[in-house]
Amino acid sequence: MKLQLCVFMLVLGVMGAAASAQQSAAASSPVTAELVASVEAVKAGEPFMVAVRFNIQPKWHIYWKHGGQAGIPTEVKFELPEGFTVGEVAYPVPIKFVQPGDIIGYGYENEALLMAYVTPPEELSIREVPIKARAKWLVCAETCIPGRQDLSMTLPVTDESRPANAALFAEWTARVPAVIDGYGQLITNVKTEVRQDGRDAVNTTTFSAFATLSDVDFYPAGDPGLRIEDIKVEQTGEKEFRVTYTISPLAGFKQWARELEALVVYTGPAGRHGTMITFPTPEPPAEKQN
Amino acid sequence: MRFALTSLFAVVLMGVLAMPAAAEEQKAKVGEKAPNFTLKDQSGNEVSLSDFAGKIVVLEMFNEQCPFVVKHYREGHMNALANKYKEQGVVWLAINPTYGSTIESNKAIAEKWNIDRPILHDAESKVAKLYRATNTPHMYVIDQEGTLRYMGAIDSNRSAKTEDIDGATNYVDQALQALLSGSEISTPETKAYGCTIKFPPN
Repeated sequence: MKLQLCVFMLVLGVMGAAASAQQSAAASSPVTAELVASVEAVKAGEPFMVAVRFNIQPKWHIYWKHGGQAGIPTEVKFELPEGFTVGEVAYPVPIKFVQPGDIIGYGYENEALLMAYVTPPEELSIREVPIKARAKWLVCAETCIPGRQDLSMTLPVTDESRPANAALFAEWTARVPAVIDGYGQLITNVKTEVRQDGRDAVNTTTFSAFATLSDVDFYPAGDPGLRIEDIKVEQTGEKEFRVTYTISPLAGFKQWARELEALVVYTGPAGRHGTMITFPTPEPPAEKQN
Repeated sequence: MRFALTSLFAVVLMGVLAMPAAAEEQKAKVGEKAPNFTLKDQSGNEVSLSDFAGKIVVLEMFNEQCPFVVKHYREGHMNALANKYKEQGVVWLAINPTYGSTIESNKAIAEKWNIDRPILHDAESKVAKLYRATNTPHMYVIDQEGTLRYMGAIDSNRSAKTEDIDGATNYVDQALQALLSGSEISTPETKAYGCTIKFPPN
């Protein structure tokens, strides 16, 4: 009897140790990813959303689709059965971190949802819909840790709409940047002047706002051959803004994107949001004739 | 009067604020003279870039806690690359710009990872800033005349996995080969990738 009790205690002890080891392994990863959908079941022909939800520990961050000066973009790729179409991955408006050394990064803290629309075919012969997602990120605090995770879920097929996670998707779709002339966007009349000096250029982008905006900032996309720095945002009128920035091609590069996107972020009547715009880059050197 | 004084003060202040811009000019740029520096190695000896006049010098921004650095040390790739060119007179200096690193921590990691090259102590990130470094690893190649000829990433595959090294183009290897054979460096500048350097708090 005594021996039995001892063995029982020992087993309990080992189980306890194993459980706590598992817990600490999960807790020690600064970011975890999970796959979520805006429906409980899939209805033929009725679009829904899928997303990878990142839960990020305090003080750590992952990056936007343009990481800034030193970050690596977070990537998500969704995979659905044949006949389903998957839209472009939508990245919500990020925040800017100015790290010591004045290194600028764009990304997310605490939580982020990277989403895509899925359109099922008009007729579904399958009874279950397998959904896969591959997520890749670089999570940084004082140091950086690259991570990746393969996620999957299976949704049943249904005849009636069965929404799920409505509040979550409403919150995060509202954070997806607007586009010029699109719904909910607050800036217009975007013009960019490129003052080229040799290979380098100073760009001046001006725009007008439809409403009173504060905390206006400019988050440019990157290009492997271009360094975009010294971004300055000025308010030049009640609803007029001017952004200046330098674009310097890296040594040896002869080609780069002639147009890049940038996110203009601001706090407007409905809170913090942003609009995607595009801007031209300096002209590459003329190809020498042979 | 008060306004005039304030404006005068503003003008003087603007002048002072404009000064660091002049210092920016001397920062590292491909095709220009590599800025000199003096730092202490893991034995506490002072090492200056100018000590190696007439030689090809590689600079490597290093942080042993960064997985992208570990990628190139885990199976000895970085040591092998440095040793390959050591025989041809190329000097290789690692610089640790990580806030909080010490001469002792550099010494410990040099022993642990069999690094027989200097690891220079730059915990105030002064040289990293002078060289406009953003990441670890961030690599530089300086020619025999002291001109910066390459700056940027170690290779073309922005991953932290050691198995990705073989299929990638190593830009440092490429630049050194070109310099030693007197040919043009095809890729003189790239964007570095890896961990953001942990600079001292602003």
